[in-house]
Amino acid sequence: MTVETLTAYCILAAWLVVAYRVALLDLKRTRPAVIFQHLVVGIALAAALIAPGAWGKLALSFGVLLMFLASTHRWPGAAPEGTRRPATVQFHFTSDDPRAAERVQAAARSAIRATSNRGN
Amino acid sequence: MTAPHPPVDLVSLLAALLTPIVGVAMAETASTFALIVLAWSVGVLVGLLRMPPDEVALGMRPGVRRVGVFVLGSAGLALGITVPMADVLASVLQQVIPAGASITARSLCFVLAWSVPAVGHSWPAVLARVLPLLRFIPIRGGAK
Repeated sequence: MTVETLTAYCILAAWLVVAYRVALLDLKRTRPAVIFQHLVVGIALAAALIAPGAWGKLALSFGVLLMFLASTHRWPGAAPEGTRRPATVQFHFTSDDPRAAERVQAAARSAIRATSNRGN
Repeated sequence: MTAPHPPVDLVSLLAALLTPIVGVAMAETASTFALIVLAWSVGVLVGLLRMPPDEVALGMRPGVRRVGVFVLGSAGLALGITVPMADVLASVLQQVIPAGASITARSLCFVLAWSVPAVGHSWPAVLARVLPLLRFIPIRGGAK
């Protein structure tokens, strides 16, 4: 099996996945940006399957670029809500008790865990 | 005298891209069917998006089998009927539309191959509206 054949199978499988996801989308409740993203990726995959050589790569990369550009409003300067990493906290203090630093750090970690987004 | 119009349609573009692979002799045929496949794949996404959620109403999600039947069935139809339908439609439009001499079967391939899956489940409703209009079309060599 050549690389070209394997690529064609992968593109076809990815296109079928996109088609199945499109069939599951509810037009009334889905945001237009999401529909646009799926259509763009589907068209790009189809074009990549047909266009020969580097043109197929161009079609695919252009589709992926458009897909990411369609969701830039969710990334105004940080990761979207619910996918953000909790902020890291560093402690600099001295104490006679050797376990004090560990206790404070554990309390801080649990506090961060309690206030950060749940379900991630 | 003006220069001849360059071939700016998609079939010519695909023919130029596919010539190194399939050769000059097959470039025209291969590019036509490549265009049909491209239009069909875009139309399938639109058709699946427009698919009525009747199975969702029954508490079932659209299954892989339903999507597969739609994809394969529309692919067969698009590959099979696009070229003959484009021929028929082009000849009809050339007679009906005053400035329709420039309409060729090649230029209708994309629209027809796209519309087969994109109209999808709405084809019966579309045909019910369109078929009664056919009696207004003057068919050459028809009943006298």
